[in-house]
Amino acid sequence: MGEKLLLQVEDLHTYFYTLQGVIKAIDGVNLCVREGEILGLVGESGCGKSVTALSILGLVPSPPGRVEGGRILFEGEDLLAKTPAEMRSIRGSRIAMIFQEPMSSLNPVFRIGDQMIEVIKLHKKVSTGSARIQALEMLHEVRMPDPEAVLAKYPFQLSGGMLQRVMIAIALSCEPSLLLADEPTTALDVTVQAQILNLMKDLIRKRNAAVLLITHALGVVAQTCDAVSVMYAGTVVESGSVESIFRSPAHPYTRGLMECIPDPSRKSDKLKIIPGTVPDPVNPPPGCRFHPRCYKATATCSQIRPDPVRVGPGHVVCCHYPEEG
Amino acid sequence: MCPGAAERSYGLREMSPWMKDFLFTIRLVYRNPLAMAGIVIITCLVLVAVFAPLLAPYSPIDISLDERLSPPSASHLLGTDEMGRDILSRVIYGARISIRIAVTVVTIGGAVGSILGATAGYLRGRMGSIIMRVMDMILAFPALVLCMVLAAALGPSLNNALLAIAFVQIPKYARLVHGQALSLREKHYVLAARSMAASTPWIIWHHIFPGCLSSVLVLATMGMGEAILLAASLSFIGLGAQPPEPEWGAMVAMGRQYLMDHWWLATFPGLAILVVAVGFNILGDALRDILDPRLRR
Amino acid sequence: MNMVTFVSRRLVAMVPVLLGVTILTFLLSHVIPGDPARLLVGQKASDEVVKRMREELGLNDPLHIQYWNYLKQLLRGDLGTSIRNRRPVVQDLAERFPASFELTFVSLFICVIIAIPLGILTAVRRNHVVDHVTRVLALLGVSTPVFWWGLLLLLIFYFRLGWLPGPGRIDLAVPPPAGRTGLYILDSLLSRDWRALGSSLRHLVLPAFCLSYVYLAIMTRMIRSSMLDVLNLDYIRTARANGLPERAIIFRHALRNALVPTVTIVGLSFGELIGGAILTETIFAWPGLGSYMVDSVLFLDFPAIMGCTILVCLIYMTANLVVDIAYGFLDPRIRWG
Repeated sequence: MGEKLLLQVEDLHTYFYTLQGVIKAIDGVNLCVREGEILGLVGESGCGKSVTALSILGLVPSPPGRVEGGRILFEGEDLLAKTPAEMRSIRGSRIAMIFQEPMSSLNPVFRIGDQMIEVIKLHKKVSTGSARIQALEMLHEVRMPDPEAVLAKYPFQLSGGMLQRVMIAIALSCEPSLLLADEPTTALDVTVQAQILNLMKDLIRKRNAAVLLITHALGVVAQTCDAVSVMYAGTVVESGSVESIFRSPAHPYTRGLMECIPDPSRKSDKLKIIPGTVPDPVNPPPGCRFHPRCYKATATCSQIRPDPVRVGPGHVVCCHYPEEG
Repeated sequence: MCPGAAERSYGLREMSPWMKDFLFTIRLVYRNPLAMAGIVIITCLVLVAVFAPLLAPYSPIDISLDERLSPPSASHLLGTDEMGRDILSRVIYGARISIRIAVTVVTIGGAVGSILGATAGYLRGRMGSIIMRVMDMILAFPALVLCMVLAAALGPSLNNALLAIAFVQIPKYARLVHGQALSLREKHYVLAARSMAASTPWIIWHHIFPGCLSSVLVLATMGMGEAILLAASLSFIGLGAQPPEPEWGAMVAMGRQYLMDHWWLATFPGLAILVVAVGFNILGDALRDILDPRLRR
Repeated sequence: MNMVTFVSRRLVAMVPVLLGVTILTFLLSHVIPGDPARLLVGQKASDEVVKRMREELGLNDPLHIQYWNYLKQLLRGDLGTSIRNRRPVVQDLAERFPASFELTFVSLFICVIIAIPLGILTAVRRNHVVDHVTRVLALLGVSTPVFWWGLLLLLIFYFRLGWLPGPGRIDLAVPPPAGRTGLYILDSLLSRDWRALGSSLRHLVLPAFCLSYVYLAIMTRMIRSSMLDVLNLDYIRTARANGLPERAIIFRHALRNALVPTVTIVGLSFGELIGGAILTETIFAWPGLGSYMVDSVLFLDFPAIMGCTILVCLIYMTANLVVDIAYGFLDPRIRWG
């Protein structure tokens, strides 16, 4: 794992203009992914994790969405300054993405093989025959049984787990240096989830590629990632290495999330919850967005937005009163 | 049975979201220029119909043969027809007939269709499928063909034409409401009402109908435009309004014989049909956009 | 192979609907005011003659027996005798059918080749000028009374400008092309009768334009909306994430899927095309089924009305069957599933 920064997102803002008002889906997100690192992006649904990934790829549906400010530096280049054609050549080759719903992420009327070959041919400029061989190799690598037959199948003829393997095969076929994985295992059976995660991790390590793994499951993060960023209501509230965040979460929200994981060794009759609900994205609370739900909140929290504070090596938190130890 | 007042307020204020939704819709309509344009056209139509005696410079029926077939001029803005009647006055009075058409057809077709659809969707079972099969059979006819056959069977008159058109429109409403009723009946507030032993008609009236209201509204708005066009078509063929009634379609039919040298006879009544149909259709189109859940949230 | 079962299942499903259609037309012909026997023998005939005619037509039998007899007749391909011209209705319909087929087919063809590209364009360039223009045109299209629009076209291009011929399928001075199909364009091409081809093509322009204008607008809007639906789906997002060029996304990935609902729309709105054809034929004195139907209705020629209605319903249902089959070709889930 290198120390070089691969992806750096600085103060990103993405808004959606709807009939009910401007939804500030992302309101000042900062992220860093180092080369070869697996970064987990954690948060409740609707906090802006997926929009962050789509913003990086320049795929925010527009209208109604628009990236309104910030910088996205990838291998030293600002992606927000790229032309659509330049972005297209980056997508799928240098940055690839896989999605939550494998069942609906492949085109239902084309064969698996056609869809794989199309992408390989596009980015590697090879003949159909050699693209086909590469597709077969990739299917083999994702441990797909009988790859030859799979090439001739339609998406509806495969299971969700198999389709997610296909998605991974397509995503990695052009050797990207960054993979955006948006809840890749959420829609799958529990037994398949671990298989897919391990497979992804293996293939990524082999290629020394980096991953931005979006998930709401802390268990997945602990198992898979090197570093974590925790998102809440359109902002990153805490980031650091998996070890330091799990050992000493500094943000009350992170701490709350950790406590929500049921611990079988602790005998308690109730599941812990974080009181309150996710704020309305059209009219978010002023100051720290978490303050209405925070047990430590003071008058400062409701007025001033906390700046990032360093609480440990590589461990940064946005809180006026970070937890100690 | 009649559920108590407490239950009723529970049902409306806290459980079914339709009232809030409806108010939101009205606010959106107000902000949509297309919808407003439609509303303006329809309002004008209603005003013209109400004040026809004041607005029309001449009688729509009285014959004055020495002025027959005179082209548009200062005294007859849209010219006169083959009997010397002022076309402008006839078009103005025709607005009354148009409103009669739109209201009658949509009231009968919409009411019967919605009741059938809601019943079929809520009850499902044998009764429901029989109703829907009959609707399918009506839909197996192209609309104008069935209208023609029905209107011919009932005898040519405007009222019979309206009945025919209303009948043909029934399945559209039935299908729409049926589909929505199928999903609404599984909603928690409907299940709750049922668990409190509310009667079937009560549930249909208080929960199913309000839930379908917005989409029926869209269909009804566009249905009015369609009804006016169909009625005009029937009158044009000779199966609707009979002369000397100032119905726009019948006026076009009469003007057809004088088309070559007296273009104004057919042109202006047809234009009136077009404008009114445009009014209903743009309002319906805008309403559909406004009520589209993907655009709302 | 599934395709065969699929099609035959759809064919079987047509039977009850067709039965319903015959019941409906049968009942309707019996509520028509006026005695069909009286109509058939004429106003001057004596009551005795009318009575014999009623007997002969079976009008005194109970209703269900009459229906049964009617159904048996239908299955033999006998649609009865026209009251108006005392010819077998089947013969009339067979003569009229090619004219209608030619007109609707050409109109539908024009619609499809214009509506599909235009629908795609407006979906992709949403809220641009083209989109607004087609939206306005579509609204005008669905709101235009076809019969008035036809008259306007006649007035301008025939009476005033004299660019195009008026009523009829072919100039009176030109003999219709020799041939079996009754489709003038096809027949004249086959017999190399260029004069007839030119004349019938020129005659086709106005009616086809009149009919397709209304239908075109609706179709464009519907293709636009199904295209928009597809463009919002997950696999389009995947295609974008894989860096595919917009051209491939629209024409390969989206269009193929958008065609599935579009084909349904074409089938369903075929009914409107038939309705429009009735009015268009009336305006342009086009000797097809539509004008035949209008004449029959005005004459209360009920065997002709019934025959025509059944034929039109059959055509309508066949169109929808063809649509279902096309569906199977476009969507592998139906073909394989």
